[in-house]
Amino acid sequence: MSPAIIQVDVIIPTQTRYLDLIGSIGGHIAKELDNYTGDRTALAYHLNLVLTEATANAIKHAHDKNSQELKDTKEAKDTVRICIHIEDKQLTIKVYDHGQGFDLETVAAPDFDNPQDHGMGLFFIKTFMDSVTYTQQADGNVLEIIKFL
Amino acid sequence: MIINEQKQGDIDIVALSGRFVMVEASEVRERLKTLIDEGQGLLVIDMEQVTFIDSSACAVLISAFKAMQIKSGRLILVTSPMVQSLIELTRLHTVFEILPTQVAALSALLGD
Repeated sequence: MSPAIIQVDVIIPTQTRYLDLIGSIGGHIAKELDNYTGDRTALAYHLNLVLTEATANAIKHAHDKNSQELKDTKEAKDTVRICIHIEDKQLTIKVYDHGQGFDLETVAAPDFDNPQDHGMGLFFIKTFMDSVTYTQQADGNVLEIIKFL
Repeated sequence: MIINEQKQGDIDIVALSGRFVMVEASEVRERLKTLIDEGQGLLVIDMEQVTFIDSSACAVLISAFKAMQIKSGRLILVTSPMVQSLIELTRLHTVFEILPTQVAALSALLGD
């Protein structure tokens, strides 16, 4: 029997009320994984959190850009696409956005001695996942997150 | 998420339950700010029934902590195991005063 492949592809409006839906997909996937021997409850929480944070980040950046673009062009890209692919013990999440983008390398780690009320989302993603990259392209940006299962 | 506000003497108590995430963050932030601004500088945020938090929730807690610091008041968190694990990951447990139950938090603020 060939190993199971799970592929989920979702497009949502750039509205925070959809974050629960996206996060819950991660929780459900953790329960459905074949041959996963780790702590499923922890994995469910981590995938829920990572999907929530990554999507929230995309929504926030889309709004940052759209607020300016809307004034000029009235052509807002008002959706975020989330793709989840699991195959051969590797889970890959890709979150596509149309915002202004950012440089992942220059995002500072949280200052634990003087905590600030921002910057923890990417910290959670980097902590719970194995690889995080962000690529800016002319037609949009993609945050790619990999977790080895 | 359900937000329940109570008062016991000079102590304000905010009990949260369910998912504490970005969608609710603005409302919770505003309600905590009002309580801190208008209260007596004693606040318990009870998250024993919170099932999920994200970075937005952490940001709200940090804002409340800083507002209470300015007021020279005292803020105690009550956490569920899930909340506690994320608080520890972000090392906020070294900043916040955390107790396991609302009763313990009230006792601490009453000086028992």
